[in-house]
Amino acid sequence: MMIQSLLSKRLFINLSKQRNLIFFKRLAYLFSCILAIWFFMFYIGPGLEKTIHLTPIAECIDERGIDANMYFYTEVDEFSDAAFYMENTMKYIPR
Amino acid sequence: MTEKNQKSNDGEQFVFDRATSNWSDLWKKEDYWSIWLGFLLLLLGLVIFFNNPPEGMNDKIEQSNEVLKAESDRAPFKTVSWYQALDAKSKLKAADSSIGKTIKKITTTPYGWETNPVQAFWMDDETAEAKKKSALVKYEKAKEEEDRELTTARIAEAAAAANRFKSDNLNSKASDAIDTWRLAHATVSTLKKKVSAAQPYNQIFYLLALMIFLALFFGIGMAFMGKSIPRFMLGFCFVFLIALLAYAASAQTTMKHYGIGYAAWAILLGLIISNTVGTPKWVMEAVQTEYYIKTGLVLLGAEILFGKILSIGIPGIFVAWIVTPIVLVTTYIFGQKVIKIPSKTLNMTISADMSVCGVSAAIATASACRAKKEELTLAVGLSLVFTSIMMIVMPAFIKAVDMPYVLGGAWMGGTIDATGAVAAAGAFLSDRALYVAATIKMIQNILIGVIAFFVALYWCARVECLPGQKVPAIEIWHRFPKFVIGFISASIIFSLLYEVLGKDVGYALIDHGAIQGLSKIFRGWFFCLAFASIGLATNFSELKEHFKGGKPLILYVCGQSLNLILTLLMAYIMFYKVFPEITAKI
Repeated sequence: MMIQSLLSKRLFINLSKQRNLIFFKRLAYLFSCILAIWFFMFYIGPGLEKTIHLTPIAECIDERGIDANMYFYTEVDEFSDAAFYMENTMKYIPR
Repeated sequence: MTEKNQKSNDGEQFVFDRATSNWSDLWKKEDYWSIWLGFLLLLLGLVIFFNNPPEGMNDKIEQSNEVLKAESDRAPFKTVSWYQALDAKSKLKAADSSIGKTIKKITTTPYGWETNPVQAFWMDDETAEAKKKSALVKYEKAKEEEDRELTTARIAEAAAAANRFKSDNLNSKASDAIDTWRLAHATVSTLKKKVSAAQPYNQIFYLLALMIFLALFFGIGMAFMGKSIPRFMLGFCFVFLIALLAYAASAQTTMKHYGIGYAAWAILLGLIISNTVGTPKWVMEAVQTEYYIKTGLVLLGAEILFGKILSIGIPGIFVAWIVTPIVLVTTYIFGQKVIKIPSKTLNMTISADMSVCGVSAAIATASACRAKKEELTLAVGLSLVFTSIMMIVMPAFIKAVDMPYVLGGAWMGGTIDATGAVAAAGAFLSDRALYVAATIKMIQNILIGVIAFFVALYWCARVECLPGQKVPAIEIWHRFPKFVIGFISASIIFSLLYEVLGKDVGYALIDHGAIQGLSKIFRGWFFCLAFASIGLATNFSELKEHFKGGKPLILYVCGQSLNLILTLLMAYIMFYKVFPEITAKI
């Protein structure tokens, strides 16, 4: 009985250790992902900009304050201006 | 509700679904709740902004239009007064009223930041003052430049007018001088916005209030659908936090350069959590992708204003509304018959995403054909990668081959997926290219409503049935995703309102009132919550399964190649062969 009890205690401890290990492993993966994002945002991204000729467009985006990562036309101010300009151009075409 | 029936016929057994509808669906089903909640916000927007029009709106519009008419009759080019009248009209925005500014303050997404993420939520007086000083220096310099260019433009115009606009040389000089002034004016406008925006802020309290409001807003529907409100609200806090972080990440300067928006970040952050430490069980009550997406889509419907398809005339309709459906249908058939993509819903979502307008089209189509969340994630991911590439390559190519910018703009507008990327690529070339690209893209955006409706109809009537089975109309109604009705209804109601009010009043009260001032803001948050939910509920291995053999990538590349060729051809024919007079006036 005592041996059985000792064995099951040992099993329980081993299982707990395994569970903790898995949890810490997962936590390590999470922090690695956060670190990778941080690296991309502040080092790889800005560095790549120069190598893939993104700098001229990047400067244009910054100067004009364009929201280049928006998805629908109502989210980008330039679209409203463009449509307004076009509609008035079509309606009031110079002679 | 769906009932499954088994029927045997000459020894063969087959199973078919028979969907049913009940009156209780109106308050028990998610689709209907998305309609009620969406319309509640739309109605709120209309009530608020129709009761707060810009001061003297009608008189100012009338005065400006008189000047526009007079100037367009007087000169063969757009004069200084023409542009100044246009500028006066464009300042009339109901969203600029005090209540509009208050709503914006409470619901605004995290601010732009470069190296300090705290600035997404909080900026102290000192930093704001330093930013303002720096922006003010640039603004004053640009203003001086603008004033000089305006003087030059006025002199050139007067010289042309003195000759009764009969000299082509003087007219051309005047037109060029005015274009130079407009460029300087655009720079001043942008810098003025930066000066105004350089204010201290603290969004933390407002974001907390917004989180509680949205939790209650969606909680009402959840309660009627038989779910626990306290458990939903608890989980909602976590989902909202992911959405908030996604918005904050997308506001970082470098991420804007790459066009990596909130949708991609929300999916990525959600995926990281669900595939590392795992999404906590108490969060899953609030992981309600479809609920958030459908409500967001009803709001999106109001932004689809059919009157705008004529903004650039017939050439725009041909480039955006003729080429796009051809590419969509061809790519879908190609995917089924040649590449043999096993999942029809994945095929349709990618085809719509690539041919129409990226993420927003993918969302609407995926919901209409009930695609899996992994399929939507894949479509969004593909769109993002190719958008970034095309945003860099296309303007460079257009410049390298000396393509006319109007043609280049139409080409980019009809092919680059993400709207923001179209604006960036167009602006990089010239204002003319930007106007054309933006207008073509906007007309394509409006196609989403029609596509979602017909995809939903096609799926109910043809795809979700046995081969050879004829589906009766009532069965189509039972199966039809009801939120699409809300989506289309919102679009029709707002489009009609826009036409009844007229384009100028519609611009002030609907475009820059109910839509920009309220519904668009909430729609963005709802989509972000939906993508965060997708990420939190998705397994990497499930995602990998859908990418087997690289078929989705092959489909995207082939479809986009066809899109590029057809769009360029159609734009060239329409803008340079059939309607060159429209092109000359742009």
